[in-house]
Parts: sequence; C-alpha cells; structure tokens
Amino acid sequence: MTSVWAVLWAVLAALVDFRRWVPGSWREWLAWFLLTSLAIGVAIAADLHWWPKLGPLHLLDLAFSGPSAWLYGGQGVLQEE
Amino acid sequence: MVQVSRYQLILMLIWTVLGTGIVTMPGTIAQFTLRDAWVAAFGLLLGAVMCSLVSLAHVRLFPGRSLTQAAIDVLGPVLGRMFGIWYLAYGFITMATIGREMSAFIGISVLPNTPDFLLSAIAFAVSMYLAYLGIEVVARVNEFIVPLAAVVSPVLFLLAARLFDASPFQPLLGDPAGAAWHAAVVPAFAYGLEFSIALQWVPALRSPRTLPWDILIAGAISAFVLSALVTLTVGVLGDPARYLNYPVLELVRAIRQGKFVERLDTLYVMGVAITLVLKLAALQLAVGEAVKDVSRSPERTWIPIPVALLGWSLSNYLFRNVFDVTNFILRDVPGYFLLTVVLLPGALYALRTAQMVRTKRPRRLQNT
Repeated sequence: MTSVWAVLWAVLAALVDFRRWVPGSWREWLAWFLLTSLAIGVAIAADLHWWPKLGPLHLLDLAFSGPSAWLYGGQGVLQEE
Repeated sequence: MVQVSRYQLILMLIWTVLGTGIVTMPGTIAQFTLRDAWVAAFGLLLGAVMCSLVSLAHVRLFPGRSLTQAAIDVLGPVLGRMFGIWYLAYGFITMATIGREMSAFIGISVLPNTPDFLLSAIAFAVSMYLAYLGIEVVARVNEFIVPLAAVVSPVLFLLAARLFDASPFQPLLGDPAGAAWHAAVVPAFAYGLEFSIALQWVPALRSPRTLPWDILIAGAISAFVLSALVTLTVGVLGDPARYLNYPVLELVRAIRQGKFVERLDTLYVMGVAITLVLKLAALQLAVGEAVKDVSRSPERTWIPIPVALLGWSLSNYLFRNVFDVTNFILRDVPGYFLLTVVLLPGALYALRTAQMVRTKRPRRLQNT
C-alpha cells in the first residue's frame, strides 16, 4: 500500500520536478558544493555571532569609501553621517 | 528559445530599481537636502545614461552575449572567470543588501515579532522559485503587477496630496548646489547603476540592440516616479523626513479619509514586498547566468538553490541592522558599483576594440 507521504511527495515532485534541480556534470557539482558550503559556513558564522574585525564589509569599506567620498565631492560629507 | 520583449524588459528594469528605491532612496536623499530633494531624485537618470552607454558598447561588440560571457571571450578562460567571480561577489553582496533591506522593512513595518532571518528566508524561497522558472516567467509576473501598481499608487499619491505643503521647498532650489549633488549620488551611483543588470539578460532579449534605449526609457520613468514620491514625502512630512528610515511608510500612514479609510500602509507594504521579491528574482537570474558561465554549465536549473541559499546567508551575516545597510549604501556602494558595472566593463570593451583593430591591421597589410 502506498503511504500518504509517498503520494504527497509524488504530487510535489510532479509539480516542481526535483530531478531538474540536481547538478549533472562534475563541474556543476563542484560549483554547487562550493556555493552551498559557503552558504552553510556563513549561516553558522552568523548564528555563532562570529564577526571578525576585518570582515568583508570592512574590506569593502577600506577599498571603496575613498572613491565614494570622491564622488560626493569631499571626505567631510560622509563623516557627517 | 526564451525571449523577453522590450515592454517586459522596461518593466523589469523599473521594478528592479524602484523595488528598494522607493523604500530607501527618499530617506537617503532627505538626509542631504529637503528643498532640492525633487531635483536630486533625477540623479537616477545619470546612472541610467551611464548604463545605457555601457550597454551600447556591449550590444555592438558582443551581440547576444552576457557580460560574463563577454569577459571570457575577451580575457580568456582564466582571467575571464576571475572577472566572473568578481561579478558574482557583486551580485551576492547586492542580493544580500536587498534581502536585508526587505527583512528589516517588513519586520519594522508589519511583522515586529517575526525573526528577520525567517522573513528573508520566505522572500528568498519565493524569488528562487521564480528564478528557477526562468526569465520569461519573471517578466510576466512583472507585467502582472502593473495594473495593481497603476491603480493603487495614484490613489495613495492623491490621498496623500491633500496633506501637501509647499513650504519645505521654499525658496525653490534654495540649498547649495553641493547639497543637491550629495543627495543625487546614491540615486545615480547606487540605484541608477543597477540598470546594468540587463547586460546579463542579453541572450534572452528579443531585440538586444534596443537595450540602450530601453534602459534610458526605464531610467526616465523611474526618475520621474521617484521625484514625485520624494516631493510628496517632503511636502507632507516636512523636516522630520530627515530623521526617518522609511519616510514613505510614514507618508502612507499619515493618510486618513473620513472615519474608515486609514492605515493604508498594509497596501503599501504588500506592494513593496512584491517588488522586492521581483527584484531579488531579477538579480538571481543575473547571478545565475554568471554561475552558469563560470562553471561552464549548459544547464541553469540546478543554480537557483545554491544561489538563493548563499544570498540569504549573506544577508543575515553581512548586515546586523538597518544602520549597517544604510551605511554601506551611502559610504561604499557608489564607488563599488561604478568600478564593477561601468569601469571594468568599459575596460573590457576597450580591450575588445583594441583586439579587433589589431586583427584588422595584418589583413590590410596582407591585402596591400
């Protein structure tokens, strides 16, 4: 006898066709694994409140706050914020 | 072969920019100027013109190719993929910014007891499914919400217009020109440059050669809508608009008609949520194209899950609160976007032109 879960799963799979979500070649698997493991790592870091002093936003700030200030027309404008 | 019409493309671009634009831009403009706020909103046009010029070069030099494909064509597989990874970083950071803006906005406005990460998870899941269904479906959903926006937005505007007071704008253009420019930087370089996302959709466009015009049209419409919205916000709220994170939300909350028509902010929040999900989906399509090109994959159906998962994780990790998001948009985004979507593609096109000139010269010499 087919279980209710099997029926529900079949309906859902027919609606979405989960086979298409799965990577095919090893390159696709590699990219999938890299992105997913990065996502899980970042999620764990957020959950553990692990924010290093020199995080990605700090790096972006170091690199681009100067050019952005130049676009505003001077350093002082952003420091007032 | 999936093909997106010009009308659909223009709508996608408008919602992509105005999705977060109507939430964030009035507040960031009002921080710098009130009297000249209506002019500053037209800074969006500057970004549109820059993106239009970039896309003009793109569709002439790389017809039917996305930006990441063009980079691989010009720079070769290694350097081209490095550019692709840089573009992916830009796409994920932008996606995280939008996701955080959305969860913070909905959390503050209507669901204060729901954790922000849960709100963004729902938004990312919906946009992931849209991205999985493809660009044509996203374009059709963009078309679908136009009648809703066309009816609801003017009604909200007109109801709010009863409270309008012109005194915050007097004397007209009374602030120094520098203040108007400072206020115009975010619309021009943070939001206006988002039009460049269309370069990733080029393979799916029905008429890629008209892309520069379509970006200009979308930019002009968006700038006009934004200017009207900012004018109304400043006119109704006055000086307090400077100190509010979401002045448009307060504008809609201020609407009262008779005894029964009030608290229309629910309508506004629903509309904003829809446009933000569409914006996330549009961005996921662009990032998905980049992932496809970088990983040399012929398929794109496996891409939405890891892309949405990473976008969602980053949105929770990078920005702890609204202040972080606003600070990032004001301090870093103008320079970051200018480099990533204008200067680097510009360098690519210059390199391609040089390569074409170099290959033509020996042929001419051979002919002589």
